[in-house]
Amino acid sequence: MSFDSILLTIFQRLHGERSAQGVYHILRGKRSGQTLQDVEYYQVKSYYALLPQLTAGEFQQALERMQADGLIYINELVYVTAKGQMATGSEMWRFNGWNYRGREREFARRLALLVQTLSNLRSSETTFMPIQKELPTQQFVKGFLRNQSSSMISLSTSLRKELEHVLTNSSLTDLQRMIVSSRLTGYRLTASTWEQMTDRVNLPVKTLQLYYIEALHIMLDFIQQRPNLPLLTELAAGCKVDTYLTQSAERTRKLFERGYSVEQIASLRNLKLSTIEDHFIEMASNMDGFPYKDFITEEQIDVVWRHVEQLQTKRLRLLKQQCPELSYFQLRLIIMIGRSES
Amino acid sequence: MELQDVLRQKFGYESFRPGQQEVITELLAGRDTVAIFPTGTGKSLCYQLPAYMVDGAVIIISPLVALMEDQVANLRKHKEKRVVAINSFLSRQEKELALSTLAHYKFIFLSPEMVMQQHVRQLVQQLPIAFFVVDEAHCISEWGFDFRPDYLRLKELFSVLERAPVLALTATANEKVVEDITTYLHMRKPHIERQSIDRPNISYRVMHMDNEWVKTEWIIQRLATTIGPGVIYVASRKRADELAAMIRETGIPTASYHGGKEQDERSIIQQQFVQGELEWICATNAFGMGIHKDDIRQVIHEHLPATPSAYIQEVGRAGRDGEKAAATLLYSKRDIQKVKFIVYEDLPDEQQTLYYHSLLQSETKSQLAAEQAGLSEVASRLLDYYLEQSDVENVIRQIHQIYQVKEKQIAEMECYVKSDSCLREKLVQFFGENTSPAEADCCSNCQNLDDDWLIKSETSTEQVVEALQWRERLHQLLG
Repeated sequence: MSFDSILLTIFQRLHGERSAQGVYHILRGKRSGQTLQDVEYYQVKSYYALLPQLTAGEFQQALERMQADGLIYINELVYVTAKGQMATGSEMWRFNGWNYRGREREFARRLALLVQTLSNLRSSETTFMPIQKELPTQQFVKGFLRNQSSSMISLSTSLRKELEHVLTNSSLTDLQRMIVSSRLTGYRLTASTWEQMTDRVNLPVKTLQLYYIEALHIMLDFIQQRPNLPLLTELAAGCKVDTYLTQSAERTRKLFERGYSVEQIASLRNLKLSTIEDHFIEMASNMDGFPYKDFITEEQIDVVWRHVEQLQTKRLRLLKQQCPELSYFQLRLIIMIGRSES
Repeated sequence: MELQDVLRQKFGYESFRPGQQEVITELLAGRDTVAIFPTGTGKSLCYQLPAYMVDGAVIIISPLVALMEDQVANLRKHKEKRVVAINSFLSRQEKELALSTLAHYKFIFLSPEMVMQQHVRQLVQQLPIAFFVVDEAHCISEWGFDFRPDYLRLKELFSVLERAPVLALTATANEKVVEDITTYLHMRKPHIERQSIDRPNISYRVMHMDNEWVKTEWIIQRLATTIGPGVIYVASRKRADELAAMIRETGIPTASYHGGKEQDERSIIQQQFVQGELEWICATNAFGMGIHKDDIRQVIHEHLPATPSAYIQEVGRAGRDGEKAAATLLYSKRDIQKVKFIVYEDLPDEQQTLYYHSLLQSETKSQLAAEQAGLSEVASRLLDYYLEQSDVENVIRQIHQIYQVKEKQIAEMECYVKSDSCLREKLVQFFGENTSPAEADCCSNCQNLDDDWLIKSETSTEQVVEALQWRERLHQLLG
């Protein structure tokens, strides 16, 4: 499995309705209305913000290679060829990008520094060069240790037990267990670089890194569900997003709660109407019980979804031709809400 | 307490290295001091030790965040908790917290741009100050190999009448650079302590080769037959990766190291190298700072460094334990052209300068203007500084001067690689020093090299350590 297969999976879900740029934004976790809406529409939330560091160059290279290999075809929009569909593979990725958005890496940094610290302290080594240089990570681990009452040795054993439990029971693959443990440094035992792991298991660096991210997501999900992992729970603090709304959308939500209309909010906040509409779409996709009936009726939902099925598309321009009486905002909302239950 | 006692108790050394005691004594007597000590000969101790002998804070101005963090980590390692580094990498809250508790710290590290912020400077000047330290002081001089315009702004800090003494530290500085340092920092009758740049335990080699392919062959062969640990300096990130992969193929534990790697990866590589798990590193010039490894036996340059200072710094990372070490520079004819291209890319020419200036005049944002004028980041920073100081004609003249300096430095490197006479003598001459050829193990031109000590013994074949299973690994790490 590889970077390519992730791209192919996303392109397929978007079935030729979005440009490559849109996919780039999804992987980088852009917090714009369009991107947030895309991940919801096309059900690719799990891939959101998977690679916050992905550069435009790397992405472009991957596209060119895949095009040259005949896996995709680009004509403004991106289409997956039959060959590409074959190449997508059947492996189920178990990412949870939507919940962690790159912050799983902070969890990994904290874990690495804590393990290194405890490993050295239990071997009575009090001076070592920290493997993590970031100040916030160092401060977090310092604060973490200050709050513990048990001895360093028993803390170390408890952490090992928790880690062993998570690695054993959280449905990771053996390869993922190896990767996670190999990224840990301690007393007289240094982590492996990606290149060294590549040599050991004969898989590309990028693939290993993706398995690692997936493993972190699985571990974090697991930790969150169990009450009996106090150390790891504390280490994971703040790594899962607590509000799914952008700051700006949150402000709009509060005004809406106080009874202002879309137009009123736009003029109050001195923002374009379309921006406020983006916020409502964002709210619809992230809030349980969003009062969509303030904007659309059940009949309208039914009509639009019938067209979606008939035309086999969610492209707004085509739907607008069928339902000229509805605004683009209403159409987006209907797609976002999904089929009505009845 | 006596100097010796502090040395033993705080730092665990029995005796001073040459020059250290002189610097510390002068500084404690309240005299401005310039210390020119080659890399790895104990510069930091010159301010760390006296800090414990006088009241007040020590303000250390350091040009590079990486360097700063390394120094901070080092002090903390010696159980010093009253250390803080204030630089642009701090968040606003972190910075405010640090500034509001400034009086608690003994060692305060500042980046030049922080010093120049009015309120930071005011806070600092209100503190009781023991003395100032300007690290990498050669950066203040356009004659130095690593000129940083930011540093020139320090003038303002030291021009006041009443101030604590200043200690300027640098690894390399010829007379001209020393003059710049003492003038710009407004030093008064400074004491100048110079330790020879020559490292007797390092032997020098220059090898002429037809092309890059021959260089690669030579390196592979060399690593198969001679010992590490070693560093191979190359011209680009891409080349570092490529060469490291080739060497790994031959079974020698090797990694590449450069600014393009993630921080996590760089930490792991450093750690492995220090612990002896990696034998060779293929690196760009990003490698060096913060590497505390005393037993590096070889430094090989696959490309031509742009200045004698850069070369001597990189070579100076070898043999810090005082044991023999070998420096080798591989040279082929096109290398001069290549290094010129890289160096001049960071220097704006007359047209670029004029164009950039006119864009700024018409209120284009400086970042956009730099882009439109085709300036590199370094080049636009340089122009920003100079344009603030004087008119555009003068700036062009000044840039031209810098150009000539760089040209001269490259010419010196050319002279070094083409020399028939003693390489050691040649190299130290660029720093205004004289030395005579070493009697044994001097350089490839003296033809008195005995490389037996470098030869790998047959028995020292690499052992492949089986990777631990994940469960075992956890137990070994955490018990």
